[in-house]
Amino acid sequence: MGIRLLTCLICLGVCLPLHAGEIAGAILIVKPLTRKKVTVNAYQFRGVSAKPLASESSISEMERVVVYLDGSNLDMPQPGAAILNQKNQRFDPEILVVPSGSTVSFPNNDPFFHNVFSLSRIKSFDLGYYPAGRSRSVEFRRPGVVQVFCHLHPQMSAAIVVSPTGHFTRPDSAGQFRFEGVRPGPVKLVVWHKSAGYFHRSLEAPSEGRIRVDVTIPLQEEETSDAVTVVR
Amino acid sequence: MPSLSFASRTFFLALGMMIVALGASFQAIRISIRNQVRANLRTSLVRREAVIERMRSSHGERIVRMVSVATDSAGLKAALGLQRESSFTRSPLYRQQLGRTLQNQLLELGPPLGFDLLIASDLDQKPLAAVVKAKSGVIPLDSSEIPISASSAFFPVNSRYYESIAVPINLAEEVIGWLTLGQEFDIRSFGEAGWTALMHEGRILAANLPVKLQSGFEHGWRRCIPTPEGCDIKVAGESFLALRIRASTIRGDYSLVSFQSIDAAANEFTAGFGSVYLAAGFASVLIALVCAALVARSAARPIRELVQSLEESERRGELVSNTRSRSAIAEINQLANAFIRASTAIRISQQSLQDAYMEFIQTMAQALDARDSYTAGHSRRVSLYSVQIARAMNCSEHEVETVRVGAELHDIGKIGVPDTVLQKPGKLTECEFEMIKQHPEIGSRILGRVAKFEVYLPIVELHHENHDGSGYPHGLRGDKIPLCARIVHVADAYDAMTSDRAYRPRLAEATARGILRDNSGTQFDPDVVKALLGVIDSWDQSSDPSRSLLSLAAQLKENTGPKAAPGEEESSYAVWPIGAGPDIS
Repeated sequence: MGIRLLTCLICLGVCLPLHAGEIAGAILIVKPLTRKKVTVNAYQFRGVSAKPLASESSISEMERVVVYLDGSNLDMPQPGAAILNQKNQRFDPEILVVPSGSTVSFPNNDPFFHNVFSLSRIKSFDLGYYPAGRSRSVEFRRPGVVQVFCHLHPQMSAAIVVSPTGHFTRPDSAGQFRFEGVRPGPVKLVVWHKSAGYFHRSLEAPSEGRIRVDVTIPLQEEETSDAVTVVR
Repeated sequence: MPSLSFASRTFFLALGMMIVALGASFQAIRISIRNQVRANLRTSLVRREAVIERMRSSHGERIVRMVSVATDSAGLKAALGLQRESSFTRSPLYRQQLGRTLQNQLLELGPPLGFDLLIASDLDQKPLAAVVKAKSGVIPLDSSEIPISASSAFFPVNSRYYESIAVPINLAEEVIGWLTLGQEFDIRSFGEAGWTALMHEGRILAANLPVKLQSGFEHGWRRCIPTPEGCDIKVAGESFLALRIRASTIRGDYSLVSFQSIDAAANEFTAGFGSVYLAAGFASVLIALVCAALVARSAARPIRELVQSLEESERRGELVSNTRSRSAIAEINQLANAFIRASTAIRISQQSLQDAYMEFIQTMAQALDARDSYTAGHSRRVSLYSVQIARAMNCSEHEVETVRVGAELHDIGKIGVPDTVLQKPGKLTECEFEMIKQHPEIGSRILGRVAKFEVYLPIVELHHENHDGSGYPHGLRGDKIPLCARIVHVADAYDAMTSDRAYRPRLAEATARGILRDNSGTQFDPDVVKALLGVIDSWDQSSDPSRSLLSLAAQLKENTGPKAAPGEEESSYAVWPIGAGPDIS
């Protein structure tokens, strides 16, 4: 009986991927989300709303986006290890996506001290001052966003997105993303933009075939249902 | 209405006009100076405000740069960054925690920065946390007290007003929030800049100007169209330049307005001119007086001279040629000439009237003579004798003239006596003689109607009065009879005796003389008879009687004027002095 059950379970385990669908889509950013850095000038003083300067180096909005799926029936991710470098007074990469339970190490590759810290609710920490060549690491269990700063260098910032599932990705430059082998059932598509924050949408993952989800951010309410098209 | 002399009239007119002109020009100068002062004041105020604004602007920019460096804190940025995470779990508790975190950061920043108000706000300048400086130090501000938006540059917090600067908080390439730095606004700090008022929707919120004038300024400002040049308002009769200042920070519903008194500034400027004005005005009035006097004199002098010349003419009884005192003024000369011409014309017309009158008299006398051939030339001869007598009796020329004319007219009354009586050859009846005796009164009545003949009336009326009172019509005697009437009486009698009459031939001259001498003192005035006899003797002494006759005729001709025909004259006297006879008629 126990063996049958075990076999059944194994079968189920083998068979389940066969019943997994695919979620693909594109992220469409309809307006600039990042308020570009303002150079203070006389107009600034006069209280006129600060306008970003046109000559400012363009920031690619897509590079600041992370997409992942959240759902109770989805697989728990395999914890991994990631590295967030500190080099030339910058964090590298500035956006890091890890599955929950992963450990991120913060090696100091600059020839001076850094002090990495975060005030984020899901994981606040302060690694203290440490010199060049040394590294300290933090384990992120709870999913969410952790913004990382350096006490010594106010311009340094990075964001670590802790995904609750193994389905996480970053869209390509055209905004296309794809999740394969998603168990059927209700899932939540979460889009996080570094400046604009969270956008999320509830979906029904198909048992087979592919559905397409186009997410327009900022969200446009009337599109929430229409944007989902099922492709069999 | 009292009449003014031409000179004073001219003087007052000229003076009045000059004073009016002076007053008007002074007023014009005053207004123009005032306007200029006003314009200069306005320009300087506007410029000063622009300079201050520019300085404040660059100063403010420097402050913002420094503050943005000073506030470049990783802690503040980390705290502000939390809002990106909270949007997923939008719990009020979490938001509150975020606020607290920011508040702590602000409390740390506050004292070293030295601003009165610090507000941390999100990208849309929605305040997240604020601290304010109080007496006890920098204290957190309750969320309810935080102004809705931190973007406005001027806003009230707890009934205090703050001017603010918003400093962006940049993280790497992007803006993540704003830090608003506020400085408390204190109207008292504008004390030196003059009257200043903080206005909100047309009402004064705070001002350093007198309370009783505030409503006036509010009213004036409401009607003002704000321009960078400011606008003029009038409060309590004083002109003010209302100029909006600090417009870069105090804006929106609020405005800070400076009221500068233009009048005060202009008065300050023109006060120095006061004494100059006074002196110039005094001098000008003096000059005006002198000028007016000169004008009046020069205008009146020719007229005065003309009047003097006319008065002289009046005194001398003839027109004085005015060439001696010819005036420099053409009109005055024209006036004088016209006056002289008019006088001459009047004199000529008077002369011609006189001539016409003389002709009339002669015509009347001749009309009488024409009725009776016997008495032809009688009137003229009587006139001639009478003139001789009057001259011999040393009468004045005027009296001689009266006698001459009066004698010509003495028998004019005979017009009213019928021809049958007048030309009756025989002796007259009593009744007829009475009719004859009426002729002096008839003549007097005829001539009495003409005013000009008044002087001749005694001659006409009384030339038959006798020296002893036995004559007619009144029976006057002696000196009661005017001398001219007595003269004509004697001359009449002499000519009657030496002329032919219808009822008798002429008497010899010696007979006539005798009769005159006999009746002297009774019928005739002895002095007159004596004078006539003297005259006749003087005729006799001339060797050639024809010559004396000719001279007499010539004299007669001269006296009666050019119109008398010479032939007639000669024929009238051709009978003289051949016959004579007593005739008392």
